[in-house]
Amino acid sequence: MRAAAGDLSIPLEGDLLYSPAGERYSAIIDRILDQTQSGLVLVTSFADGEGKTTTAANLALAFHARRISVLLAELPSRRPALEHLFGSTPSGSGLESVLSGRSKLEEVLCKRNDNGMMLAMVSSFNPEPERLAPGMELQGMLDAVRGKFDFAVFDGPSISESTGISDLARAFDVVLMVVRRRSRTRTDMNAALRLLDHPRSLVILNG
Amino acid sequence: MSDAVGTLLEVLTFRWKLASVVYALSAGLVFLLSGRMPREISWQNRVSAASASPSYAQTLPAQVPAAADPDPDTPSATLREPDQSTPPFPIPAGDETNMRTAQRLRAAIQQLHVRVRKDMLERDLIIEQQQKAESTPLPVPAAAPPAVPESQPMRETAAEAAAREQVNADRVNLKELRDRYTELHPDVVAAREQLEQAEAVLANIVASRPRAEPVHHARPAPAIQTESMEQTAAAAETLARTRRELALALNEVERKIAGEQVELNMLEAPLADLAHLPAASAPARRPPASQPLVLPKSSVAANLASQAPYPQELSETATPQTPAVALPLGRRLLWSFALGLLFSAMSIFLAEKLDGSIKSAAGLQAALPAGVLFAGIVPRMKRS
Repeated sequence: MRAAAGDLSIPLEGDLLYSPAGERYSAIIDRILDQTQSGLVLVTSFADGEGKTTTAANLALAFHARRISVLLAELPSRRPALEHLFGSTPSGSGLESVLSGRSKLEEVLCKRNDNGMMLAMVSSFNPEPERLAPGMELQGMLDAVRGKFDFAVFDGPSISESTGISDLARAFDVVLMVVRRRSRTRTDMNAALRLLDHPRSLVILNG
Repeated sequence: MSDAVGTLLEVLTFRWKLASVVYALSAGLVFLLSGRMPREISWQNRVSAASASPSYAQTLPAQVPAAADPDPDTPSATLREPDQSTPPFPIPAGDETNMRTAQRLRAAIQQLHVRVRKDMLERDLIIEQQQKAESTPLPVPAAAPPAVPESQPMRETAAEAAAREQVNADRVNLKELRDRYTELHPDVVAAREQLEQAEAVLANIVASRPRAEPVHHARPAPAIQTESMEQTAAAAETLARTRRELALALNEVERKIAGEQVELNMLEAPLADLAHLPAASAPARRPPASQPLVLPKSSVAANLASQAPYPQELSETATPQTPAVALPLGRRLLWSFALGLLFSAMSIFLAEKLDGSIKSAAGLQAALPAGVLFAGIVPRMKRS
């Protein structure tokens, strides 16, 4: 396990956790805790660019601020984004190597220097995100995460990007769908929710 | 209140590109178009259009020569722009000034009506005198006076009888024509001249009739007979002169009435354009029904026809000229600014109405299907 390096420029850092924005994330955590006391949270959206990566990172920071054991992870997608927030993974290999069986989970986990929050990033571009269909590797990785952390917040692929999002969502305890204001119609949102078809679906409005 | 302002600011923030584009386009378009707005039809052009109407053109006097085609032989000739100094009643912009102009026109029309009625009365008087003069037969040399018993009564020759018959026939003909036409009708004029000629012929025949042979037992009285004939000829000449003077006077009155009618039409034509103005204290444009003003059109036409040749043979209706003029720059800018704002606001409103996207947490919660929870709102994050 190595510490993550890089410039951390996400909204909720340090004292900002106690800002009005931090209170909003804290309220969202309360809604999640109403659904389950521990588990895996998948953050997704209808399309890219709606704010799911930032939302996932801030949720993980909010969990961490509450002294809840949490992992911020990223599932392979066409646009890995955690590197832009936390810098590249020190080991050079990411979560995609765990899914391909080349590495173990402990080898790709990294810890932030400042607050000790655990991260599992994707190190390179994954041209085939469809391989995220829950197979033995994905399920094994999720089981391993579930055994190590109380909560794990996964920045997942967008619904329009992944055809197997429905099967992927069933592997998680809670699914959070981020909707950007003035970006999606209610028809799009309802279609996405029907596609997810998850019993614990929550919707977050960005904006 | 703060929510409304916040919503407005949010909408403006979200739609500022659309609003800017619409504002720039609409303001620019308004600015360009306001530089070429058609001018209001000026009074000069209205005079031109009015003069082109057939009724007005028929009575158009020679005082408005510029409004008509100078060459009546050219069938496709059009009306020229009226001379700037020709229309006698320029009506400036502004209802107040137009009111004063209309009142002045109505007063002038009223005075003209009075003059026309007076002239018509004079004409009726002349016609009455003329009819009396026409009904008076020309004096012919009577039979020898009783003071000359030795003279035999004068015998009527065949030529004299024929001339007298011709005179009677001409009188009947003239009377019939007068019942149908006025004194200015060509047939009436011709019949009157024919009657005068016949009467002159008859007078000559009577004057040159040979004396009857004196009887032996009576002596002729040549001096007395010559004196009687001279008196008769003088009376006939006086009567003929009176008739001619009456005809001239009648012609003069008819001409005067026709001129006044033309002037009346000139005054009423511009007044018709001011019909929208209130006429509270204005006099009636037409004489009352008890004194109808009826001018024989034939007399007017004959009067016009007898005058100098008119150039107003209209072959085509004039079209009012409406050249484009530019508004003042300040007003154009003001209109552009105001209409640009209006159109941009309308575009924002329309775009908001047509936009079916999720705009608020309330809208999102209302759209959520059953079993899906609303987790909350996170601060707005820019797109990566």
